Amino acid sequence: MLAALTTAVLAAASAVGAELPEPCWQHAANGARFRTCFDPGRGLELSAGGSARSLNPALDLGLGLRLRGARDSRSKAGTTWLLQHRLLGADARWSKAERHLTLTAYEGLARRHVDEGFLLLPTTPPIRLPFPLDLGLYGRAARYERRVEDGLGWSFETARLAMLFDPLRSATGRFHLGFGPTLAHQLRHDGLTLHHELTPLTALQLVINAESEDGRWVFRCAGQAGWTFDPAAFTRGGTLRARGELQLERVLLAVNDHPLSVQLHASGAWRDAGALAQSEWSAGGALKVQLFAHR
Amino acid sequence: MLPTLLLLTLGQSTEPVDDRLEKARDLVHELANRAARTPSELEVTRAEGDRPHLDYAREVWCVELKKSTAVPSGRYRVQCDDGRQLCFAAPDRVLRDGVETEEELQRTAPCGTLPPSQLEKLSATHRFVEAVAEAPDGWYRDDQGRIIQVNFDLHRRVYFGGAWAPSFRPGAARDLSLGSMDLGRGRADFGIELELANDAGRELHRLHILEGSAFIGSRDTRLMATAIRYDWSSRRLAAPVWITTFVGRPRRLDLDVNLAGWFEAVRFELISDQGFLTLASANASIDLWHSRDLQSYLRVRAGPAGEFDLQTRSVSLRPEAALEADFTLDRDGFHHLTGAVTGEKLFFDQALAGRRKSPERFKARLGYELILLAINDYPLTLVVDGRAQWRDDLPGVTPGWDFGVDAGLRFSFWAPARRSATQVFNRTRG
Repeated sequence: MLAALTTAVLAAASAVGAELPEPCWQHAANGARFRTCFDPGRGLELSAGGSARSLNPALDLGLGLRLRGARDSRSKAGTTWLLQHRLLGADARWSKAERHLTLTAYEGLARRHVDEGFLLLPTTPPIRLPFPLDLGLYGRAARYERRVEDGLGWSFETARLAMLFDPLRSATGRFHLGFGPTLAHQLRHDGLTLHHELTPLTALQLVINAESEDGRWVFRCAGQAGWTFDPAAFTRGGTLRARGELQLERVLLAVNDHPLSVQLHASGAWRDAGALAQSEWSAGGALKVQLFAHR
Repeated sequence: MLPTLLLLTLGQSTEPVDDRLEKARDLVHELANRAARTPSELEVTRAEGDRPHLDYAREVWCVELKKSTAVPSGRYRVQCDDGRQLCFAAPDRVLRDGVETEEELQRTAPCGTLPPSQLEKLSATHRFVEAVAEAPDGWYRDDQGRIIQVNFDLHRRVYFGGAWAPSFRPGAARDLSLGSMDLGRGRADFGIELELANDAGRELHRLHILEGSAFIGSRDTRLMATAIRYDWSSRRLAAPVWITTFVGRPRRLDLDVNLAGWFEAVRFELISDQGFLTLASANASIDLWHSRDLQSYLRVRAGPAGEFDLQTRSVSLRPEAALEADFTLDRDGFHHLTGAVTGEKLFFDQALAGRRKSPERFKARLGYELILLAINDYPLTLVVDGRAQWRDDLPGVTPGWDFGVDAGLRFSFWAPARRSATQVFNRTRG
């Protein structure tokens, strides 16, 4: 009797489920269906546009692979790891006066979200204090930058690792607001000499990611500011360097369900751009196709 | 039984009574004789008018009937029409001067054997009439039983040919009197064409292998050869491209474009001592129109290619765009009209003395091919082409137009019947 009742309830539930409209699909008048939601954190990105760097216009091309995931912790109940990766990024800038190429092997973020954050003080008895922040890690590895107009110089960031605190504590991977100390190593060759630069937790990293629920609006912000040191001359003191970039994207249309968006971006650097560690700013726009950005 | 038939025959006719009586008597005798005949005594009567043809798509029986002067073996291929109570009997050998020879019929359908009892039954109820054996789609069998192909697919063939190919190059300042004419030029052709269609006939894949033309006998020898070229056309059930707009309410716009692809690998072009080698091309193509069988089309295509310059030993990027047409004008594939307009431009090419950077080529061609006759069912075609070309990629040569007209013959092996071919029962073509 109980088994029959359970079967009937399950069947009814599955029937109700089958009638539910799919949230990310709509139907045209001829019955053909199309996607209305996308995952900006997934797919192969191809972008082309233009920007002005210190009032010099140039053509920009970009390529990258984005992956996103979420995984419940096996060891800690009520804990979810929200993961965001960008692999094999390539950005090129081309004009009569400038030829830039930036290659990034990996850039990613992993945030540990807990339903109820707390700090446990090992007193007797232990004291449990509310902790209003998620913890996360930001990492970047193997970033090469070459500017032809800088001569033979180049720069190569071996690795950058930051521990992030996120007061937003969003349960989804669509929102991140992380800041925290960063550790980095970079090689900078000015054409004559190779310099090592070390950032021993003396810089602050900021990462912001916000997306609308349907994935058609995306805002991203990333930056770092702090002191870098020459390991061979540590006592000489650090050099203040800063770099930041903003991106706003809006999906305008989709071709065969692959979204095409318009992107506005701005960036700035203080004693950190290129092999010669210059200061600069740039602003521009681009069209971006994101293939396989399907949920 | 017989009196009943006699009465029926007499009652349904308007002829004089004596004539009717005579005919009724003949009919009764014939029916009575038929009932008494064995298959080997069954006579095949002459057809009134043109001999009917057996249907290739229906079952055919091989039987032995009454031997005659024309068919001494008495072996026939038979197909019966129960509705009309007729059996068509075609001699099972080729005839010569109306008499059976030992030569076997070619391209017949497999025939079954008819049990004697069933043939006896048929002999009682059916009349046996002289006919011509069946022929497959696109083939015609004449009254002698010889078979000929009357429908050709020139998109599946191995061909070679030659043509007279005079050329004309206008002089400077568009002064025709300063132009040069080369009347002693000839062209040799070779190529393999393949077409593969899927079962539903919604996709057609075209392959061109080792196609080339050599222009010889003039001051500048020209050679154009391609190792392999592949393209396809498809007839889709749903729109291959759709665009969704997200400004305002999301909407889907279907674009019914016949999007396909065109690819080429290893194309070699030689003009006098200048050689150009295309390593590979990849074009997106859109059929502006295609026939239902996809063999005829008008399309545009565009895409990049990589070209190796044999003079500078460097690879250049070569975007190209083309408008191409290939029309089969008649059902049996005798008339073909082809044409193409192509534009190419080189980028990232290395500097070469006497040539400007990023040179261009523009080519146009219009051709007509007509099957004149077939030798052993392999078609011999008349080919007439008109060509025009402008290019500035030849070092030391003033950029300009040159024109050519080719007229010649082409012989094609294979060339089977077209996929759209049907059975030919009455050949009215001249």
